[in-house]
Amino acid sequence: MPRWGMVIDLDKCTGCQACVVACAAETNAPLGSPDIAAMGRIIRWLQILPKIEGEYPYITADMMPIMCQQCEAPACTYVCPVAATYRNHEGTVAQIYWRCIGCRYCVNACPYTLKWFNWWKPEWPGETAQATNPDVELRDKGVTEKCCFCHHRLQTAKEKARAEGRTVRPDEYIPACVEACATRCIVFGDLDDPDSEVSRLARSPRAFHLLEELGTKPKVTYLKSR
Amino acid sequence: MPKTLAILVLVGVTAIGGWFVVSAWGGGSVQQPVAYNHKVHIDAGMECAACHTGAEEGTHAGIPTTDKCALCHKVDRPYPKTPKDLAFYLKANKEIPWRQLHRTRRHVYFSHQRHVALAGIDCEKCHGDVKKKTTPFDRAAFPDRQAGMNLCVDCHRKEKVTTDCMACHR
Amino acid sequence: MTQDIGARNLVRVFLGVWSALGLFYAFLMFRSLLWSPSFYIDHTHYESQRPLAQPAALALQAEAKNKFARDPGVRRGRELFRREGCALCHGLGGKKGILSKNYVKDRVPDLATLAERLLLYEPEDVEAVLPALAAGQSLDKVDKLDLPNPAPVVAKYADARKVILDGNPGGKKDEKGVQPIDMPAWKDTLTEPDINRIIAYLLTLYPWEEG
Repeated sequence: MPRWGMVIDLDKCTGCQACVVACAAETNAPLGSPDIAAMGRIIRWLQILPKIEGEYPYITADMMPIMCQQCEAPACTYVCPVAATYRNHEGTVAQIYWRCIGCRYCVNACPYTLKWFNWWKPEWPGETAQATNPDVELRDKGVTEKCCFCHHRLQTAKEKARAEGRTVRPDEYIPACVEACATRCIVFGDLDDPDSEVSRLARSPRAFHLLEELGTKPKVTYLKSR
Repeated sequence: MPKTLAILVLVGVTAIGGWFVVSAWGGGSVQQPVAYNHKVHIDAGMECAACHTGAEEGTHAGIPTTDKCALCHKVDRPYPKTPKDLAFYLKANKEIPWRQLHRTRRHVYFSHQRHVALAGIDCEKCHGDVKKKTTPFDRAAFPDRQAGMNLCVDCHRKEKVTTDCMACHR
Repeated sequence: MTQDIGARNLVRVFLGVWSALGLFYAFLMFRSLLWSPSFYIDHTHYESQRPLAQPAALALQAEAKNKFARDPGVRRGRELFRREGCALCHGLGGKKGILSKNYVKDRVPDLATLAERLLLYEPEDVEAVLPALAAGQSLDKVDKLDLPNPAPVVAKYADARKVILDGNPGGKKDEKGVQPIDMPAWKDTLTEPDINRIIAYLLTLYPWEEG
């Protein structure tokens, strides 16, 4: 049974934000406005977190793409009163918008602050409405959303594979950020497959997780830059 | 005076409420523009997916365009018999404005390919006994007229298929 | 019990309101448990336990395994066959045509056996003509066909193409009866390369295993 995970090599990441744009386009991220941005409430499921050490101009910077860490022990799922977020059998932490009551317990509980609440009704003015991805739901005001490893792409891949009588191939299910990455620093795959690249890299001596001491067991692994 | 006013308001509200109840109770049946007879066509040997082309390969099954009817139905020929309402649309070269009844909600992902082609479920299991239907669909044909989640989840549990929320709600 | 009616009523109201609220709360709890998806979400991964070769999916898989199925020309032919409505009369896999009243053959011709009617009796024969047809080329315009006797095949192909282009009125079984369903003319709707691709698709449908 596949367990989907990701490895991000920080040595290779240049912080170009192609993944951020790809994710926003793929998942119908609400456009927001300058006022909303001033309040720090623009929703982008994938963001680049700069980790800067030293004083300008002698700095070392790490650009870390962060998205829902798809924890094995997700804090958000433990507090949801209506089971709108839960961890499914393939390890992906689901978020069902139509079940969410907007209490924001999960937004509070997530130690990485990677769950996003829709404080306003998302709007797609004019022709931008035609550019939305039909495979991903449009959220409404009052629900929480987060990265789900482009699960809609997995659904399509599974259907295609079933029609041809085989299992999903590793190159068929690729989330948008992985596809867009210019340096191929994001690697995605089945952590339960010992031969996959993801498993191999996750066992690397440079591997670390965010906030490991909290015990959330995230499935997104980062490789320390050299 | 206030008493008559109160009675009038009460009667008015009851009348309006009653109208809503009765119209919903009637089942909200719709009238289709052409009295399409499924039985006659199926008896002749036509397959479901020949007209509803998306049923085996797509997410939505679809309703055929009027030019498909025109392939066999010629207005001046006695066979196949062209009823007057169909002849009207064929002569005017207009698309028949079918009223779509089976519509998945926006938040649900339902793939016909998965259910028809991959699982081999017969169309009649969800859409009712279409082979016997001589009148067009005037309401959604799910068993017991429920198109809620119960129908889907019950079958999924019985057939031991995924009941993961994310499988159908993206 | 006190004689104070006011106090007694107050106690009654108090108890009444609180018990009503309590009952409502109990009802809500009952309903929320009943509706909770946690009871419905079955964490067994059925997918990995189901055999991949499901009977219904086998038809799709057999089509996918048919070595011609991946050819883009054949796929376009397949798409056109379904989209333009050929499947309505000739059946989805070209297997069984619909009944036609007073028609000489009773049923509209089935097209899965088209290869035989084009005198292509072996899979190798079909393979010889397929590349050209799938590319949209008409067989009578091809210089050399890798067949032992190409001329009759090309002639039969030209007949089939004519029937598709110009149509063909259905033959009457009983002269005095109604005119059965005609084959419509497609020359105004389909281009010749597309018709060649449809013919290519139909040639791949022949059930060689059944003999």
